[in-house]
Amino acid sequence: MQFKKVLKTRRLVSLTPLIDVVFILLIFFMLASNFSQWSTIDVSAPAPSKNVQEKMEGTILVRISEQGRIDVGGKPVNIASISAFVSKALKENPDQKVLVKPHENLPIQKMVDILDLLRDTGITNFSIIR
Amino acid sequence: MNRRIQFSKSSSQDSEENVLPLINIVFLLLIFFLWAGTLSMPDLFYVRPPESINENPDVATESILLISHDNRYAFRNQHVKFNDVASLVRQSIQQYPEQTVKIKVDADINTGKLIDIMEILRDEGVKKTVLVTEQTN
Repeated sequence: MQFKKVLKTRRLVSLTPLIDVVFILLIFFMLASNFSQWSTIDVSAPAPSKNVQEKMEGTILVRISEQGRIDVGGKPVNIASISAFVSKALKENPDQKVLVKPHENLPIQKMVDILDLLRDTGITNFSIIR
Repeated sequence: MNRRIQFSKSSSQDSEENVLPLINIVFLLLIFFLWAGTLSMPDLFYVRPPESINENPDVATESILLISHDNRYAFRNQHVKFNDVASLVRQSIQQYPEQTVKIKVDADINTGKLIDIMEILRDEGVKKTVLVTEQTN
């Protein structure tokens, strides 16, 4: 007696549900992912000093006007040469702290740009004061 | 006369083979978004922080103070008024005395406002305050 051979055909798993799930995951990650890279600048306010003289002793004062003009220790400085000017002053006395005094109406972006210039020269020890 | 019979593949098999390149691309895109993106809780309102070239890494803290360009404030994912910031920070400092507070402000706001906040945080006993910036190249 001969039996007929039953041909086993491999049944493929349907890919459609997999594609659906992957698409949904893709859309979720596209919408929820954030590509911004955040960094931080230490802006801890310095401890209040009893008088102005105590506050200013052994420091380099960088003042920024409302228009973005800079003066270092009372001398007007070009924005391009601020790094060189401050680093020269720091070479003479490396223990000096840099105090940045922006005008209260100065937009934060302009202040951050100047802090970036200061950081370029390796100055990390600065405080923002009123 | 010999006639050759051509057996064609089933149409369903054909269609599945056709979508394979699509699946490959979708998988690659998925892997890219998983690898390159970061998932984070959205802020209570939109704030566009200042751009900076500085590379100090972001600080992991839940104490984030948001300040929008239209003077809205939020602390620890909660809307607050400017006058209530000090008391909320005080409560938070009592719970976590060593916490760092992150200030995320809009790039357009004035420095005066930032200094007001910095002084409030200092007076309430916050030891470290950082300003969030968006890193640019």
